[in-house]
Amino acid sequence: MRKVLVLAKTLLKSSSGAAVNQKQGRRWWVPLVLGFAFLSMGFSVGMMALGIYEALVPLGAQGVIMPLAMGGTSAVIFIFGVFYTVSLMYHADDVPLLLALPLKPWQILGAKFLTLVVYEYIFQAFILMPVLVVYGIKSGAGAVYILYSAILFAILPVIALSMAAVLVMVVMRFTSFGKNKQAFRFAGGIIALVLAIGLNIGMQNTMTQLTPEQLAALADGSSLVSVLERMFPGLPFASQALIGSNTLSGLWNLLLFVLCSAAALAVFLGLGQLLYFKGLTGVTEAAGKRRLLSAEELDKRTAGTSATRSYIGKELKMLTRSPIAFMNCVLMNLIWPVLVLVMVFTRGGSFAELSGVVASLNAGDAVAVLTGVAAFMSCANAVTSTAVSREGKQLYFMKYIPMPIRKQLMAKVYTGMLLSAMGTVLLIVLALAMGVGVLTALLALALSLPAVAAGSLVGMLIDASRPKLDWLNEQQAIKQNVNVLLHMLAGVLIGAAVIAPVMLLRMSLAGAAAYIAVLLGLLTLVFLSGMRGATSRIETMDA
Amino acid sequence: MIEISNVTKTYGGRIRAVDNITFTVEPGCIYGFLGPNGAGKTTTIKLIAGIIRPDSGTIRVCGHDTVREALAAKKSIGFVPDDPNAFLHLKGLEYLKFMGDIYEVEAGKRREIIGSLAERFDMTKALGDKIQSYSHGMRQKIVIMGALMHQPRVWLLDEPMTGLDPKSAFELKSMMREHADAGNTVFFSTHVLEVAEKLCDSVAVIGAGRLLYSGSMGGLKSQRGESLEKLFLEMTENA
Repeated sequence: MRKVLVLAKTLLKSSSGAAVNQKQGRRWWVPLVLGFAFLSMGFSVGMMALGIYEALVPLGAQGVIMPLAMGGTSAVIFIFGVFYTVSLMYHADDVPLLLALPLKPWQILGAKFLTLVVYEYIFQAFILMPVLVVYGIKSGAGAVYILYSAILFAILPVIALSMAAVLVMVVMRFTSFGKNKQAFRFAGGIIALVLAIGLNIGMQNTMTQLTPEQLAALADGSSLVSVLERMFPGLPFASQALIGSNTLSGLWNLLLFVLCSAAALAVFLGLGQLLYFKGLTGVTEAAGKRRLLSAEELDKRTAGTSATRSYIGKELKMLTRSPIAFMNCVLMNLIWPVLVLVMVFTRGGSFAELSGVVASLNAGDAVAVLTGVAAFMSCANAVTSTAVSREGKQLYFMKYIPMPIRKQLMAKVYTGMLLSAMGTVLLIVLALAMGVGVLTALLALALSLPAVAAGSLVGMLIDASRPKLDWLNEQQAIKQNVNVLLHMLAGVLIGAAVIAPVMLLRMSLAGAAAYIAVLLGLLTLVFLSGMRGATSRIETMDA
Repeated sequence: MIEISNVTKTYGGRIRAVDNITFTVEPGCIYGFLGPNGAGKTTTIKLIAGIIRPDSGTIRVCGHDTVREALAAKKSIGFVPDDPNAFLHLKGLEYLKFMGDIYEVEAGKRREIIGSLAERFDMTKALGDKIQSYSHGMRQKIVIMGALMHQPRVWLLDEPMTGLDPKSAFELKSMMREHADAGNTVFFSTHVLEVAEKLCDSVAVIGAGRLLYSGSMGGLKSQRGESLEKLFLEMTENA
């Protein structure tokens, strides 16, 4: 057991150390921003809990909030636990090192499990804690409630995580699913994105659209609550322990829950002792077929193209084949229009309503909105704002090949424009479906070209001036890169500069088109002239 | 083919990685570049490849100044870096095609060049797979193949033998000899003194950024009649 604790401590230290070592992690405002984000998230969850609690009081069923919170938290922990287990226990870079140490499988698993539980506390802190606080205050609970809450908070992740880990261990032991790290990261990333959007819709619905019938169903303890409780054995004891914290049955329920959690942990560790090492067999970064290519295939696949086209092709391949880049740079272009729709629908709107709003816009406004959004989208896809950063320690490649740096940077800009164009086309199709006139849509499409050019160029200027090259994995280059944020900010400004004057001055279609064309044309020229500085910056940078 | 004159490179204005070095690498020569860790070998190679610029001094490759005629100089070099972990998401063949396009290798010649290199390095069955699925040695081989695609006159190799299996290391050494015998130049850094001793016509020894010796291998050994290892240790310890 001592070894498990020592290992868990080391694993936690090495992961938090890695995070602190990142240049951007040392900035004073990062903890402030994160703290604010977590607090506001916790506050909105608390407000939601308060709303539901007060709505349930007249029905005398306010206790339902507890199994709902516990079950919901456990369900999310279980779903994300599946991905965390695979990446931490099977795919992590430290696994081969740990296997060489004189440790038993259950000891490695136990330590990894503990680190996962600690991560889950962060999640619980802003999802479960606000509910516990609201329930405690509203029901006038005492010191025993606080003590029980603390104990339950500490052990709640155990059952859901054990179940997730057991599922993963069985799948990894007896199937080939999850063995290919790259493929798994792709699937995991997309599923996580869909879940995040789904969760967002679910929460928005609960906050704004809980009908009296739904409240009554909740109070009945039917459907959702009972399904959640049945999913996680022993979970009902947790909520009953808190609801009856002032009685002896509360203590009894607490003990039963602790027992259930211990049993789940024992099953996980016991099965791990049998399945873990064998499940690790065959885990690879990416699989290769090792097939001999025919002469025709060789000819076809090595046919010459221009250096710029080839460079764009290389960039596109690198972006679409890396899970992190694909999620943040490629999929992001398609996600913005979808997100707009989701936001509209979850706020009680409908497609017809939205179409009504769009139809009420005059043609000039519609062109401005579409072009402005296209400009913003091209600044929000992280393609050009991480184009140099993504090279990382391999930046030297850009400098030894016989292709001028400016040409290489422009090839990266063209890549950003191509990917942005995907989102723009989707946006225009959506606009047509909402009743925007064909002429207006075509004009917006034409004006989107300089919009996308300006947006992509400004991202390149930002990244070339301060690329983040010192990273260990691509995630740090893309997701933890301030340049992406700065690029988005630039996108907001460009979008506002396109939309605001047209709407405020009530420009006609022709006036709006002329203004936008001149504005974006000028911006593109200004940004293009800035490319000289960006080129010289990269040329003189030591790599 | 490579002329380095009074070249100095300082990092961050303080650390003098390369300190006023001068030497020439003649055609038909395999030139070994020796030195302990942190001596300035990789910095010198990066300077020749045009990756970094010297603070002072000039470097000419095949008569082209690496700063003023950078593209022409780069076209005459086949550079193999010490880290082969690049372009992992590309397939081997895609990487070679990309290098062919960048170095403007004639379309008609590509199949022949790739076929011959793949055969020699035993990579024929791996070309259709992603570089990510390659072992360290295979990654090293695909990088070497990419560097030789355009049949450059100057080979610039930073620790090229690292991770290669015995057959591939033998093939690479044979290719280096053939290339030099055809009137071209091979310039490579290594830690393995036996390789330098057996393969090189000339060597340079660098320590703490300063050039400690430059000349023929025979000349170095005849200086005091000692083994290369002993000479190397004595030179670099006093640097």
